[in-house]
Amino acid sequence: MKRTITSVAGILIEMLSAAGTMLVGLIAASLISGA
Amino acid sequence: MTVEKPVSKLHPIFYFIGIIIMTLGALQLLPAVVSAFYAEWRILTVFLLTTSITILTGTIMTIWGYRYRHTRLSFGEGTIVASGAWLLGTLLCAIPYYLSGNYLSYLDCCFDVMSGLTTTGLTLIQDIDHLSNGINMWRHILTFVGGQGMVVLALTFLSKDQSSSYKMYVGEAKDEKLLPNAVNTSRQIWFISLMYLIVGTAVMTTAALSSGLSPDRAFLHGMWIYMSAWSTGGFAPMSQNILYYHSAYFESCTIVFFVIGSFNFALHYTVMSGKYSELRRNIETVTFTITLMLLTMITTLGLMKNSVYTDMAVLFRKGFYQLVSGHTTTGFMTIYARQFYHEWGDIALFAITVAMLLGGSACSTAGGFKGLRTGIIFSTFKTEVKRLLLPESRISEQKIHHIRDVILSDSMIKNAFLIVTAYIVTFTVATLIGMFAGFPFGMAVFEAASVTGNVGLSIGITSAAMPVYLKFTYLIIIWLARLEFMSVLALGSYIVRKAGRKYI
Repeated sequence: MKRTITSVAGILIEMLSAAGTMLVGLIAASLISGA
Repeated sequence: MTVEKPVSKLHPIFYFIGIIIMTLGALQLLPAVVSAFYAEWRILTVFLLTTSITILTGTIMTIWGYRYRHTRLSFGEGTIVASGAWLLGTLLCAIPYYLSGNYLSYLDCCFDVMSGLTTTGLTLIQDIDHLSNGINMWRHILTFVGGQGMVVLALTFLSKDQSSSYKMYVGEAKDEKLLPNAVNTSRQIWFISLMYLIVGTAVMTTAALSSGLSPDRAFLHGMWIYMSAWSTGGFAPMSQNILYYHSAYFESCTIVFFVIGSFNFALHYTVMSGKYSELRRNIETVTFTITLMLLTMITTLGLMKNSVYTDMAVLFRKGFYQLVSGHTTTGFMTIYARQFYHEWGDIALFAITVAMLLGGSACSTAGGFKGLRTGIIFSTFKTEVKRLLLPESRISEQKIHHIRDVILSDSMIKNAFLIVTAYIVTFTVATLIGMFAGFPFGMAVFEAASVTGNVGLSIGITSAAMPVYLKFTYLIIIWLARLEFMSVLALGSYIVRKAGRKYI
């Protein structure tokens, strides 16, 4: 049970980290476009 | 990855290639089921026929080498099994494509199979928007299996005490073991991939439903796009690729899955074991974040300078999307191929070309130099500069963090430089041949980077109309690059040596 929870938490953290890479694009786009 | 000694044992090589081929034959039953469900009787017949041919070929090879199944393979033989299986597998898996009538020639079919298995994503298919569900399923299964590796798939069915498994595993350009045993490592890789398949299909199906697709189409498109994203493949069921869905939400979901797909399987395993801090400490994620930030700035500045996209949302959905798709070696596109050349300008094209060459992580579904090697090379330069400036007593051992702290040995540094050099030479040759075919320098460079990095972004060169010699060149290069050169070179030298003994 504990192992399953750890694995699912790992998946969620990886998905959040991957989603975090989009911040790089959003920040760059907003800075450079002056939005 | 080194070739230890001259190889001569053909029987065990055939035995193991036979097992991999039988696995590929069994896989063809999956698109057959989809064809049966959608009443695509002609395609169903094609798959039943090709499954039989593939399984029969694998069985004959396995029976021929069965007596020698316990023979311990050398590293050289392991690499020949891997590259030989990829070659024969491509020839056999192309038969359903050929019989489907969606391709101009058998070479085009082989190109698409190799493109799928190597998770490149370039395609020569005709009328992609009206493909049968069975053929679409087969395209995406190939790219999903290729991402993990067809040897990795076959190893999951072997017994744990198979002494040759690690040599074949290394031959497929995966040299990291998640667990002490290569068979267990392969099973773990498939366990991680299948867990993500469930999560990813659910998320992408929801995204497809929100884009207005009917439930059954949303499920199929969601599953196929997820398979392609996770494998950093780039195949999509529609000719407009991701642009077809016209949805920022859909595009964002694909970014999440192809970024995760470009992570190292050892990293997935470590994070899923509860060591979450590895995500921010690992040299590959650190390298990827730094290069992505730098290249995003260059791309965005280049696009703004040429006034290509001036609005923030469009800069993100067009500029950043293609860049991150290229950097993870996925190849999903939200613009038309020709827009790169006619609209983007040299600066943005330069940044995306560099991103495609750098690629994702080692031991992942991604291609390119890989973050581990880029990190090692950067760390070596840093140490050498320190050596010039500081006294020897203040120079410490060269260390990186990859799952644990690793002290870099000379052989690791040499290996990193060697493989990156091989990529650069291959990229140069691909560019040169592209120019010979009559394409301008900028286009030839872009497509060469895409092919060498197993990316799949296209500037418009790759099509069924391109010269046969260019198709053949690209096909060989994506095979070489996916297996990181050594396995294919070992197979080539083995064949030449055998032929030399027979005819000279």
